[in-house]
Amino acid sequence: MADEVIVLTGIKETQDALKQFDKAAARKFNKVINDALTSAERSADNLVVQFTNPVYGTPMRGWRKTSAANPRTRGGAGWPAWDVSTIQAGITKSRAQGKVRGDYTTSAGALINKSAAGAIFEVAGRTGNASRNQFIRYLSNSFGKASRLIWAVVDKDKDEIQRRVAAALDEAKKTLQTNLNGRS
Amino acid sequence: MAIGAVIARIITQYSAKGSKAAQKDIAKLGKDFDKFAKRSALAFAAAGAAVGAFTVKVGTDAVRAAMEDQKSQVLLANSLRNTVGATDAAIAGTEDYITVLQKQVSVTDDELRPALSRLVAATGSIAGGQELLSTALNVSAASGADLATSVGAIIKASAGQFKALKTLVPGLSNVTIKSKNYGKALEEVNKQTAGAASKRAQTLEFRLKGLNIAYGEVLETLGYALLPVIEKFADIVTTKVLPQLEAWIAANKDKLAASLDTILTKLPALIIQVFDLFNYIQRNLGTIQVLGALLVSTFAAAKVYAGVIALSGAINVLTAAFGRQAAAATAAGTATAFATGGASALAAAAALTVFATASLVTYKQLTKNNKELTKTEKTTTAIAKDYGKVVGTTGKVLGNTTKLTAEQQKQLASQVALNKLKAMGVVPTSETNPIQLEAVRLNLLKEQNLAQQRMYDQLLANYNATERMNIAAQRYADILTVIADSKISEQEVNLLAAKWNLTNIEVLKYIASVTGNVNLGKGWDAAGYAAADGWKAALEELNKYLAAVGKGAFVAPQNIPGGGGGGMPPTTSDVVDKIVQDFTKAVETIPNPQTSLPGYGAYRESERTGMSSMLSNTALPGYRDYRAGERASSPNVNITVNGSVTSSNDLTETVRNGILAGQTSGRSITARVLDL
Repeated sequence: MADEVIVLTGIKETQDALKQFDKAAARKFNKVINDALTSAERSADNLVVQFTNPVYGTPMRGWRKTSAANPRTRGGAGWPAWDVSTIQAGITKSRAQGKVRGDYTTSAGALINKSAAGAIFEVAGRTGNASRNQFIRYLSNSFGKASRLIWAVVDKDKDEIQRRVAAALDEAKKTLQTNLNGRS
Repeated sequence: MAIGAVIARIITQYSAKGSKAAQKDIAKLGKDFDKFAKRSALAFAAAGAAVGAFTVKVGTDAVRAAMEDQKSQVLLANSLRNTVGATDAAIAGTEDYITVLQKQVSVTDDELRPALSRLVAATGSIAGGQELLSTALNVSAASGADLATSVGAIIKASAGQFKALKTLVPGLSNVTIKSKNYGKALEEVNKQTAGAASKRAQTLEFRLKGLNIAYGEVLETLGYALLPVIEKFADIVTTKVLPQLEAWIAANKDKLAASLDTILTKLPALIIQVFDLFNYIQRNLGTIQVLGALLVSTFAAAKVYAGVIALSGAINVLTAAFGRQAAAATAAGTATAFATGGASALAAAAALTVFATASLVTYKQLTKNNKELTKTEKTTTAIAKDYGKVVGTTGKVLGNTTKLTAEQQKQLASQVALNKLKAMGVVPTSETNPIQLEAVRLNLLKEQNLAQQRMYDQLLANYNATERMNIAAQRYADILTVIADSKISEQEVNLLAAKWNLTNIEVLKYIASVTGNVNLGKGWDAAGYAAADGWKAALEELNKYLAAVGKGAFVAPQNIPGGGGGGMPPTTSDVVDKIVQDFTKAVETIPNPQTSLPGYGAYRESERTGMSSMLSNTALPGYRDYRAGERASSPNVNITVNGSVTSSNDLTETVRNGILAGQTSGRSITARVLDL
């Protein structure tokens, strides 16, 4: 996970203002963000396939492929089934702003891992003593520590995505300024 | 979003949503800083004040300590010089010894110096004194006695008295004491108490004392620095202030002495007088008490007397008013007043006077009421008697009601009907038939209704007349506005027509009728309309006449050929002239039967010459035949006009067409024939 966070300012304002002067430029800026997020989403989807054992159809042999009728216990009845398509469908991109954090930042683009199996695979073993749990131990040994799907993609591509979006934002701001200058 | 979903934010943007909260936080932080600063300032101020106070105290203590130390040093030095002839160097060395020793054993130099001074005097040498001081310190530490006691015991022992030392050092052997070997005794004492002072100095108590001593040294050091200042102050007081004070006293001592003498001379006399006063009071206390009681009782008695005098009138009034009982009540009230407020008996008297007055008024009112009541009682008694009769009568009436005859019922009905009429304000009549009375009543009601109806009609007519007057007034005002320029335009006529809810022609006619000026409507064919009306009236009159004389109605010509020839269409004036001529001719052709009688000319001549009394048209020959013929048949009047005018409408139509043909405005006439 990257230590530094690039905080972009004026994405929405620039986009809204740019729509009034140059819709093409607005669409172009929008496309940069969407493309970056789509690329990240696709990478995460690929990871799901990559982590699925072609023999078992699951990351691990004992992971169910169908959901239990009475979901109660982990690993047995109730443990969410590993279904590649369901997990991939659960991985989506979002441009919703969401809550404003204490550092006065909000999201302008994010990946979401919605499915239960995907979320377990994503964060299992992130906290607590993983060595005492065989499932987590095996999961960590085989697929690495927590942050295995979307966070893995984000950690890998975040800087590049932020640079691209920042560059597009600068360009959009310049375009907007040019339009504003021309207007005045 | 699904619960438990993992969100990985990729692009982060700044949001101003929380900035206001942040600003508040920052502002609050700033306020907190301000508060902290203020509190800190206060704390520092308090600390500064405390430091100032502490400084003053330190300064005071320092000076005091320095003075004490200086005094102690001077005494020791003086003792050393006197006893062993110590030099200044030896004295200074002794001071250094004292300074070191007090730190070692935690005993103040103010204690060490007197002890050393006494021991030096006892031994005759500074070194001996210092050695014994060490012994004394150990004895003091071992025994718990103070240093001065230990020093005294050792000095006594050096003189052969070991009892005190034995008390402090119980281990001192009796053999040694009996032998009175001071050296051996001192040796035993040193042996038994060796190191006691040092050990004691290690205890917490004496370590704290050591700190206190060190602080005292600091104070003394500071005090020594301050002493010159104080000494300077003292020097100033001594050399400057006191001499001035002495000089002033020297100059005024006689006056002061005289004043003091006066005070001392007068004061005893005053004291004696005061004493005599108190003594007199003391001696005559009983008399004074009696006198005081007498004065008080006299004063109270006077009040009572005055109160009695003041109350007598009221009491008399009350007595007369209420008799014995009232007097008793008043007496009780007075007694109560004196008992509860004897000191304010006069006030009570005043209050009672007011009470008495009110009582008198009340009494009079009550008396009056009683008279009324008596009268009422008599009346009531009479009524009661009558009531008995009434009851009896009523009973009879009630008893007879069921037996009412038809006549009585009729009377009752008559009475009811009369009552109804009375209610309507009708004076009762002698009529007793209830049916008639009811008919009268109904008739009255009807008349009332009719009267009301007439009144309403009158009101309505009045209202309508008023309304018409208002309308007429409004219209007149409109007309005045419109004809201000002496003409009426099309727009004005249209406006008036719309406002008055009339046609344009009606408007013009109305204006003409009001103003009498038909020319106002020039260009609007007002003259033509007026002429048409005139023709209509003339035609009506003509036809009436023709009918009266037994002739047929006048038939106006139509499509009158133009008189001007040349094929030109006839103008309005030509047509009108033609019609007028024909009309006149027709009228003129009607023969007057009377004027055609024989002798009518002579009759008219005699009438002109005043001979009419002799002649009469009735006497004319043939007059009877004329009248008979007149009665038998009317003469025919033939009006021949060209065209096919057959009625008044045709005539007016002809006139209208003529006008139309002659009008030059080009405006279309929308009015119907009937409107004309």
